[in-house]
This record gives sequence, structure tokens and C-alpha cells, in this order.
Amino acid sequence: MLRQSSLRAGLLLAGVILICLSAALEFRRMDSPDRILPGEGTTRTRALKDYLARLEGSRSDTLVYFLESREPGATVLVLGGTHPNEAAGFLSAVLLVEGVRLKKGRLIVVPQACHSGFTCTDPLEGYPQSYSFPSRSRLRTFRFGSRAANPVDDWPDPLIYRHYPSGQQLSGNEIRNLNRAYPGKADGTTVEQVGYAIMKLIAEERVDLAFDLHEAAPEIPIIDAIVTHQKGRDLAAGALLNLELENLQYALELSPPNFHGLSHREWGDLTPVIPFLMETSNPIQGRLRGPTDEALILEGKDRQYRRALETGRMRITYSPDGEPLARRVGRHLRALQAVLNAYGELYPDRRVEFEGIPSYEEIMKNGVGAYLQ
Amino acid sequence: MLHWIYIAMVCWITALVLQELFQEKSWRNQIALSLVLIPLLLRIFHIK
Repeated sequence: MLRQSSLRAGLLLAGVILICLSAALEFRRMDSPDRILPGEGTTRTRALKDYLARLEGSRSDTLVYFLESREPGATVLVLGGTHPNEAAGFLSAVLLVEGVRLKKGRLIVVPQACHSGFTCTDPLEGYPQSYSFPSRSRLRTFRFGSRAANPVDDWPDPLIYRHYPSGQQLSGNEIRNLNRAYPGKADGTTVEQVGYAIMKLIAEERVDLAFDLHEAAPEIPIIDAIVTHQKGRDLAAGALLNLELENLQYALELSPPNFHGLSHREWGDLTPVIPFLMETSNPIQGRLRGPTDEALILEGKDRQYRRALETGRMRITYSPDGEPLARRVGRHLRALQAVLNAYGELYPDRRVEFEGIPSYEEIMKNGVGAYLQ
Repeated sequence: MLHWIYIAMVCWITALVLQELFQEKSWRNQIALSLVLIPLLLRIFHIK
């Protein structure tokens, strides 16, 4: 006859297995791809593997959407999801794919540039795995990923990351950060391969202007900013002035010439493209934040940031009513259009014109979901 | 390779904890040991 303690051990073991099974099911959900539903403006799709065959079958391969018009104009690249925990960058790209048509020019969109990072969350941050909101036809659920690629794809991180080819040294975990990996390397780490494929896409598709959409914690100084390479300075300045007239304040930041691996530095140095990186304020990334849940991604309301704003003891970019997803996506799309308009004024035969793109006020009023399929 | 050495070590520790769990008579200690098992099993099966 079984001793009582052995029976208890067996029952406890069964409980442990049940807990592990439920954790496994939740964990595996991160490998289910997000559903992006291309609208009628999307004319064709490719994948990053078409620019670097080595990516085929890997977690880093991701779809590239083309929105093409019959009228000639510039070719524009928009990257979302360079950092998969920056939801507004990703959703701005998704909105372009699902709801916009091109009247002039060509738009190439990569909504999940660091696809590997969409398969995990950052450790010790308590981030939710996904977030949901209603769109025009259904409830849409998207994964909330990690800042960098999945550590399983390049395990373990070195103590020090040496950027290729500059030799610049950064902390080891930055080896999985796509926005420190450009210009990349065909046989390099996961993100070096992605960086290389994106550089190749820019060259092969003859991209004229490229946008990398980001978010950052409210205490980071480059919030609500357009960061650009020196060759994009005049365009960004023109865009900023027009945005100011619409009561949308932005800062103009120039890409540091000696900080390597960043999109706005390497794209601009090594290709003819004029690069721009945009940031919005995202409280879920902040160190001061309180409860870290789905509502914080969508509504961007946090009591601790509100307190910080009221006491005035910290320099933060945070509105008293929070930083909702609609505002963050609206700012990205409005700034994107402002730069393209400034480009169109300089080069009228290279104009890019959209149809169906919502205004900042419309997104604020109706929410992001109203413009997704 | 380093990864699989790590997993082999975790398997070994798990076996020791399992042995202890079945030999232990105090229910409090058994609960403590089963809690220790959770992260070990999650690591072995590459969950989290």
C-alpha cells in the first residue's frame, strides 16, 4: 500500500504538471502569427527571405507589403515592429497596409521588422503577451513582443556586443536589437541577417525615403521627435514647421555621426535613402509605471506618471489624460505625411499621395480600430 | 552545446528534487519541493 506521503507527492507532482501545461499553452500562443489583413491598396507581398535566402524558414522572416500606384513618384519604406514592444510603430504600419491606397508613388511596409521579437516578451517586465481592440469587422488581437529578438534564436548573449563592421562596443544584450545591427551581415546573428536583408531591400527597391517607427518611455529625451540623418535635416525641419501649425509639437534630432548600427545612421550613410526615425511616448516602457497591463498599452494612462507630471520633479512627456494608442498612431501617421509633403514640395514630380489615410483628429476621435479591416 | 549542458544539469537537479519529494514525509517540505519543480520543468521543456 502506498504510503500517505508518497500519495501526496504524486498528487503534488500532478499539480506541478498541470501548472506547467497551462504555462506551455500560453507560451506557445506567442508563436501564432498576428493576422494582418491587407486592404485593396496592397498590390503584392514579398518576404524578407526574398532579399536574404538564409532567412527562409527562420523566425525572423517576415512579410513585406507593397502598395503601388500607376502614377510615378518616390518609393517610401515604412518599418514597424523594429522593437515589438512599441505597439504604435507596429500598428501605424498595419494601418497603412490595411486601410490606405496610393494615388502617386510607391509604399513598401514591413510591419514586423524584428519578427523574432514578436515571439517573446522581455523578462522581468510583467508585460502582457497580447492586446485586443475592436476593428471595423472583428476583435483584433496582436502580440506584444520584446524590445529585441527572441534570446532563443541567439543564445547566449555575449558580455559585450561588438557592432559589425565598426567594432563599436555596446552591452551584450544589444546583440539582439535590430536598431543596433545595421548594416547587418549575411551570415551574422539573427538581427544582423535581418538588418542585412533590409539594407538589400532598400537598395534593390531603390527606396527614396525610409521611416522607422518607434516608441519610448516618457522620461526618454527624444520623445515626440523626428530623428534624421544630416541629409534629411531640411525635410524634417520643413515638416516640423507644418506640424507646428497644426499644433503638433515635435523635436528635430540629428543622428549622431559616431553612433553606429542605428537605422537613421547606417541607412543614410550606406544607401541613397533619406532616413527618418520617429518616437512617441509610451508609458508601458517607462521605469516609473505602475500596473503593467493591456489597458496601459491601449489607453496609456498611468497614475505614477500622472503624479510625476503634477509634482514636476521629472522631465517627462506625458499628457494629464494619458498617452492613448490612438494619439501615438495618429502622431506617427501625421508626421509621416508631413515629411512626404515637404519632400513633394521640393520634388513635385516625386510626390507620394495617399488615399484613405485618416487625419490625426479622425484617429483621435474614432480610435485605431476604425481604420483596420 | 552549452545550452544542452545546461539542460542536462537541470534534468539532474530535477531528478534529485523528485527523489526528495517522494522521500519527504513533511507535507510542508513536499509543497516547497513541488514549487521548486515548476521552474525546473519549465526550463527543461523550454517554456518561459
